[in-house]
Amino acid sequence: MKRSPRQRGLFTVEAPSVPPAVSVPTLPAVAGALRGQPARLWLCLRLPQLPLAVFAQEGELPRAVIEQQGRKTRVLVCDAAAGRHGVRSGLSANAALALLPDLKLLQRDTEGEKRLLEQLAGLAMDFTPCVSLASPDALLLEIRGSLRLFGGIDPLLEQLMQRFKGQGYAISVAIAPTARAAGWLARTDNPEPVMNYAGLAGCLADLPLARLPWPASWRRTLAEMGVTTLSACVRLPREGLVRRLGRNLLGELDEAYGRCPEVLEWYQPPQDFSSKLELVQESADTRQLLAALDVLLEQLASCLQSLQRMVRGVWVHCEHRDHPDTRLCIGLLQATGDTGRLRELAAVQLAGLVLPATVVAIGLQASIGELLTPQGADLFTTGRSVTEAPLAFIERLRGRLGLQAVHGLQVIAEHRPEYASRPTRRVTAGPPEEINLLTAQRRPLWMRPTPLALRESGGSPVFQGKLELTRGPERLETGWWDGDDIRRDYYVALNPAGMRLWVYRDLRTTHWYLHGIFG
Amino acid sequence: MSSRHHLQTLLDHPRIWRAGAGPRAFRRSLGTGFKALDRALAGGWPATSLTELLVETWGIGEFRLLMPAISALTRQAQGDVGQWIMLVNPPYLPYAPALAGAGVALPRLLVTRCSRSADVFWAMEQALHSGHCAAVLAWCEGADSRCLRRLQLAAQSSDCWAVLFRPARFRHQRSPAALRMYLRPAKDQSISIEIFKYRGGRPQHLIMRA
Repeated sequence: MKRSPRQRGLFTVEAPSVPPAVSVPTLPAVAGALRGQPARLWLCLRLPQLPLAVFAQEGELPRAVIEQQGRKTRVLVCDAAAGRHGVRSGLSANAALALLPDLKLLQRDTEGEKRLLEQLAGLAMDFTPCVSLASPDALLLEIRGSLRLFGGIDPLLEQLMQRFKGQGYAISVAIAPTARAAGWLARTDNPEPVMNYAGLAGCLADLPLARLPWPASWRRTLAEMGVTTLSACVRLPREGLVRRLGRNLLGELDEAYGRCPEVLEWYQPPQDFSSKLELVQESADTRQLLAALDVLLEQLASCLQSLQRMVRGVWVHCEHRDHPDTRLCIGLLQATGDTGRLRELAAVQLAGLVLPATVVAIGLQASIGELLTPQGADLFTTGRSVTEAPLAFIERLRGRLGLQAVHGLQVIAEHRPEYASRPTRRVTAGPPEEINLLTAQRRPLWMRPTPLALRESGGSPVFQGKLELTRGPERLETGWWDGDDIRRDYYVALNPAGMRLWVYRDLRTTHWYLHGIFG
Repeated sequence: MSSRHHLQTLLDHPRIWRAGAGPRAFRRSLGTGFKALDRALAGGWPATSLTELLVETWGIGEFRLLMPAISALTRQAQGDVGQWIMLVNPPYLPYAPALAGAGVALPRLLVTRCSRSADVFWAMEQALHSGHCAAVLAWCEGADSRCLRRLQLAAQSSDCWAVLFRPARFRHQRSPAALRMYLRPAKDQSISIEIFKYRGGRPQHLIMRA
């Protein structure tokens, strides 16, 4: 309603300007979605001692990890021995040293923590293919799909705890229908697993806000409003929360209570496997090297098993103290997930290897290839007894003699004789080659790798005696297109020792050469 | 009747050699492709033993002599014989067009190069034991009788034709090979073949063109 200028008086007070209405995310239709079994069940695996686990245990001294927070250096995590003497997280470094002079202070290594978390994610992939890193110190596993395989939640939890505790990591585990709720519950002591949405609100209700990983400003503002638990936080009006604390808080609450879908980045295991083992004692003994290689191959096998992939070849490198590394390449004609085959080939190669010095450490690298396809056995066995597949036999020969040592032969359609025959790595049947029978029958069975220059005496060439030219000449002038052109007259020659030879006279230099021998 | 039957089984025993009878046919023989040689060998190459060919120099026709048998083997189905014909350490490069022109199916051919002579025998033995080779041809120089004995046993136990090419100076060395032939050049581009050891047969000499 527009006021007329007459009605505006001296004492009219301008109404305070109302800020524009903030767009608040609306709740999705929740009709049937939250009832019954949730589509996903999340398990959060938290490692409270992760910063400490990065450093290898050396000696018996109590240890603590320190971090620069603001202007002070504070203790982040300390081990049990230090805890007994009163060192706590949040204590300043000087205070910690005063409490315990023997305390070993280690600077926080965030890169090492990330690597360790990725390694543990690889371990967790044995239980489910959907693993996500909830940094800095937790893993989120989606386990709804794995429950049937493991036979229920309890066996799965038991195996998980056994696996991680067996490797020496202290973990705390929480289960909830939403990932964020699982992450929050993992921060409490001994949380009960929550299997559906009905129990979720109840479990989250009493969660103290101090335990949640929220910025200090949020907690301060909420404390000023008198909100100390999540249930009270959820009862606050949505627009008010957005206006005071920002959209992120509301988003987190919605995700935790399952009102809003969560988007997580899945952990992708690396495409290359690389692992190293330092030998307990330096040695050049093949058996000890093989024993160390066995350990590495076992790691590779479990990695391939969890990824369900195959590998086509591995590189083994042996480190020496003062020499450059010795590298071995073990390649397979067929990709395989079975490391037993690789071990056999490695044994064959190591047996024939001469090491320049003693080996200090041995490393294994592999690039992970295609998906695993199981090998089927032949239904109709042939009469002959075969102990291994044909290609495996070729691999074994190549393993001892060298990759280039075993090959097949291929005909190339070329007039120049030296290019018409080529070794080929493929040893299985291919399409039949077309050859010109007329010329092929006039060619020698053996060819020299390079033509041999022959001495000439009395007009004819000499090779272990004077040669008698029996058939010829066959003129070959070709190859001008790639610069390697030939102009030769080929003859079949007989020598006193009875050999039948294929010689030619180069028309440019008029020299005689021996090119082939008829078998 | 039974005594005649007993006598016949006794005379058929492999360790009895009868001077009047010709060379016994082997368990399996490969046709050589040359009628005179087939007659001399009573069937063909002994397909389940070691054959030793002693040659003055490579290239007088010893490889051509084996060509018909090799090409017949490559054209046989893979289920009946082994998959490959292996050439171990040939003296020169095998020339694919000439081999294809002689009738050899090239996908069935395998060439192996060894840097040490011990590896030649190793490769040959592996090929014989694997069951994947229909024939193994190897070129080598000296060999001691233990190696040759192992190769002969391997060839017998597997179903594979083994051929060993050696220089002629070793023809006076004792060898357990079932068939030993000495090849020399003769006039008019023919080869003189002296079969000086043939298990179950007697020494023969023939001259033929390959």
